[in-house]
Amino acid sequence: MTSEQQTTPTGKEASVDVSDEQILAFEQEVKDAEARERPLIGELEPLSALYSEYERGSPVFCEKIKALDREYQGFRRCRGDGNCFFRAFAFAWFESALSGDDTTLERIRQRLTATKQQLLDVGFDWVALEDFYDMTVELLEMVARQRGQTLTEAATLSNELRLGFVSEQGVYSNAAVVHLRMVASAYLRAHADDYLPFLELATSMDQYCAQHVEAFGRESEEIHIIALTKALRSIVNVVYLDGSTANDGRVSVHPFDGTENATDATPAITLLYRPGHYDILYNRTAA
Amino acid sequence: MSTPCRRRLMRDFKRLQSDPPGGVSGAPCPDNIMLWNAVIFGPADTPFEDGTFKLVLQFDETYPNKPPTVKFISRMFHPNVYASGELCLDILQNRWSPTYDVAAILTSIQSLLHDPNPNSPANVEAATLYRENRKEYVRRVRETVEESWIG
Repeated sequence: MTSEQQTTPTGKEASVDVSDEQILAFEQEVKDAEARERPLIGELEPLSALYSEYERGSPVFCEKIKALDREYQGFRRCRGDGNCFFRAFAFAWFESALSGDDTTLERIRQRLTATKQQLLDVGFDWVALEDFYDMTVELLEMVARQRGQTLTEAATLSNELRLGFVSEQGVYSNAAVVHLRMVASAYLRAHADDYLPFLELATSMDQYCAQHVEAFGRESEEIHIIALTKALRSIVNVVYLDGSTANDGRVSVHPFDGTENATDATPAITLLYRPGHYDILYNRTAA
Repeated sequence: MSTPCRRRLMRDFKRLQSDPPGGVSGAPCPDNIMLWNAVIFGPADTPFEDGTFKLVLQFDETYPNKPPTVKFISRMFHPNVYASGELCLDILQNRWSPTYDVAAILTSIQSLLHDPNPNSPANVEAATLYRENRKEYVRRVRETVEESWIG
């Protein structure tokens, strides 16, 4: 609110006309406010930290969080800037390269470098995209260099990866977000006939991708997850934490399996979904 | 100081020089890479033909993760340009992607001159004339074309 508005005497009728620009500015303000108080990728936290947020709220949520606490070691918060799905995926994917064996690293490296051709195949202008691709590859190579060290220090290494993701105002992880958005877009464009019928409001796949997939900060829906897991032949399990009491109030898990055959799968990524937002979940067995 | 934003702007500038799209030009101010002057030539077969419309692009360190602020300096008469010179263009607002560089921004604005969107008007008079009185719309645009040669 400007000082001018604050000093305006009350009693004047308030304008009810809100322009598109004001709505956009407000949305941006909400995202910026979130950005100021939440890092791009947070530390690993126990689920009890989440419980305290809902303690005085919905009992359904509380019961579900208790159940999650029994099954999962913890979670990592991601900033709710509209890119949370892509950033959470990138972090968890690279983290699995960090803690996995050589085969896992090699598969992830191969999947990532294969994306270049996928982008070229749909006719994207490489000059506009190469920086983002290069920085994403650089991020993975940073992970690869650290792997030689003892894996008992896995938590420390993850923390270093986290620093890579948040350093320089998140330049590297933003590049990874942009790159993965383009990968998902390329997949949908290449398979437009299969997916366009499910997009009610879209007139063409090109338009849908430009507006909803490539646009930085646009929230992700199921189709984004399907496209990315198919393009990278990876598995994402989405654990739904919502107010639904269906399924006896148990937490439901939706698997997105983009692999063609199970033998060359990379480790599944588990994300915690709360309406409108994704964080990363960690199983009790693997850190 | 070299920051990711400044490095990117240098690349944008090199690309604009080595592979310039038709009908647009732009360059950073000699003493400030964050502030660019640009010119869009009115596209042929539109009322804007022959116009030389000047703009400024103001970048900050959030580029390319956020779009620059873009504003026409030349007076415009267009359904999607405000009296202040600011534009109503989706890629400069909620449809931004960091893959857009300066060349892409300028060519998008150029195509906006070609295809106004009267459904989201920034200039209601221009939008109404565009829909209902195309002859008068063209006349008003031509006025700004002539002004653009002087200003």
